[in-house]
Amino acid sequence: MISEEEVWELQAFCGNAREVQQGGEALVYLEGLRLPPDRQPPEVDAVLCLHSREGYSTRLYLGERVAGPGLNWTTVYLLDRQWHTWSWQGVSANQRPAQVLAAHLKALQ
Amino acid sequence: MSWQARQSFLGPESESVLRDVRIAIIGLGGGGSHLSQQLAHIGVTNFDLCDPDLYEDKNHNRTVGGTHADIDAKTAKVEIAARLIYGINPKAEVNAIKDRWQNVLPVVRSCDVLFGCVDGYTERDQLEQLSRRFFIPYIDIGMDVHKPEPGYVLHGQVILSLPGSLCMRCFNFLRPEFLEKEAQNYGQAGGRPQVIWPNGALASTAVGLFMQLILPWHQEIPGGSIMYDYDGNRHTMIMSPRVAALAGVPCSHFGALHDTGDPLWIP
Amino acid sequence: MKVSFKIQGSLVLRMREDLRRPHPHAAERVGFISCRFGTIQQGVLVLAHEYHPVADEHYEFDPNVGARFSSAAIRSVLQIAISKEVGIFHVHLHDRAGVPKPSLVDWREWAKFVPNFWHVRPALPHGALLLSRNQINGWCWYPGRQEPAAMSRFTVVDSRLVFREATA
Repeated sequence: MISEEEVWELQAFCGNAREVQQGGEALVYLEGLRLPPDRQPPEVDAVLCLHSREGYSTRLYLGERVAGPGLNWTTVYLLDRQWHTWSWQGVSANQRPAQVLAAHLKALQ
Repeated sequence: MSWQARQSFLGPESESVLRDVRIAIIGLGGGGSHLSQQLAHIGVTNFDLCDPDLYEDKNHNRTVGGTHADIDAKTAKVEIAARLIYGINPKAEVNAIKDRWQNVLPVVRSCDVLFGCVDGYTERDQLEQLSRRFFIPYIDIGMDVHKPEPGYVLHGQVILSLPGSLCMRCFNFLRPEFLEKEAQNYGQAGGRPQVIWPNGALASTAVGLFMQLILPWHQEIPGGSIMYDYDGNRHTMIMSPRVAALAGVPCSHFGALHDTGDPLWIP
Repeated sequence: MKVSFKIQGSLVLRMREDLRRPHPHAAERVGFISCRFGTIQQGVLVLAHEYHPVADEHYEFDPNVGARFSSAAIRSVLQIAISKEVGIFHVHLHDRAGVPKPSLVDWREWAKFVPNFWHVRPALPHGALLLSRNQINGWCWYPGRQEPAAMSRFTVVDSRLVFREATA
């Protein structure tokens, strides 16, 4: 469960952040996540997974594939939606959610 | 006399039930093509078919309705299935979607019964998640060929995953390690050996389970989810011992509020 | 816009059992169902998740109606709507066979309290369901629309899948 303070930190990156559940696992839904410059679209909805899933310690899923170089995209059905993610290993869950998010966004820079 | 007269033992309402029920088939290859044919013959009228693939020669050993001309024409698998269905029942209403089901979620959510004839555990897991969210009975079929020395082993499964009852994880068919391994391979799960006769056996059992669900003709229906194990070497289809072993055990994987409906729904 | 309703068979059984129980002074019992939603082709799907019976002590004596529940009952179910993201559907039983039809009293009472749920969950539909011995009927108050929409399809999901398309 993420704290109110952690939600507030995440909202520095997006319009709104809230925890949602799937299959007993907590995920963070990020509405209007602002992407790094030169990525299109500039904002997407996203889901941040702060625990181990699909062999990754944490993972970020985007509502759309973003244009720009160098990512190996895959598609996942989650929270009754289709989400797009890429191979980006080694972002530890042992940090604050905003730090996890920032580390994943580095892949898009 | 109606062309369905020989199945009148299914009851006086059977024709209208079969006419009104809406089914979705995900994957129109070996298993899905058999299902399409049988369901059309029985009188199911409303079909949503999803498969993004085109017909190729590697599909030709097992796809019911596929012709040699379809290989050259690279016909979409959903179009072959639609053609098959219309040939049996011109009054059928077939929504042939040449796309991944994840791209047409409102369509899939609308069905009464969902059939999964897909490759890999990840797709099955996702289909079951959707089916549980929207209270859709999910019938899964699949086969595999293994090579323990010497010779080969053909086996498969038919699973009715009924909302409120055991799921494919309860049956130990879907396991986290299988899903993780597929995820590491970027979800690649196709390319396994596939042949027509096990697909026929599996599809026939799936249709039988479907008919038992909507038009039961006897009293001995086991309550809840069911799993059948197909042994392609002994040519047997037997209810999995896991069903009896888990009798009375509730599903611990689904049923919570957050797994019901669309968690991000807005009107 | 079409509204379809789905419920699991075990929940229907539980509801009918509860709604049939005699009450010391009310002629009939009532309850509420918490529901979730999804978008389907041509409309919305209402999925019944849990049944919340009105507690015995929350019925008020009124010989003019089958059942009258107190403000405590309303507060209790409003609390459910506040704490969970659910729509609330009132439910009661017409204990005979066939498709149940609401009485004028039913309509009057529903119109009074169903829109109250929008005070706590303004973005979700709420409504009312009627059970009979063998059928279900229902109406949905959709956000932004004053008039309720009659549900057009009812599905009970169990080892026997039963569905009914409502005729006009």
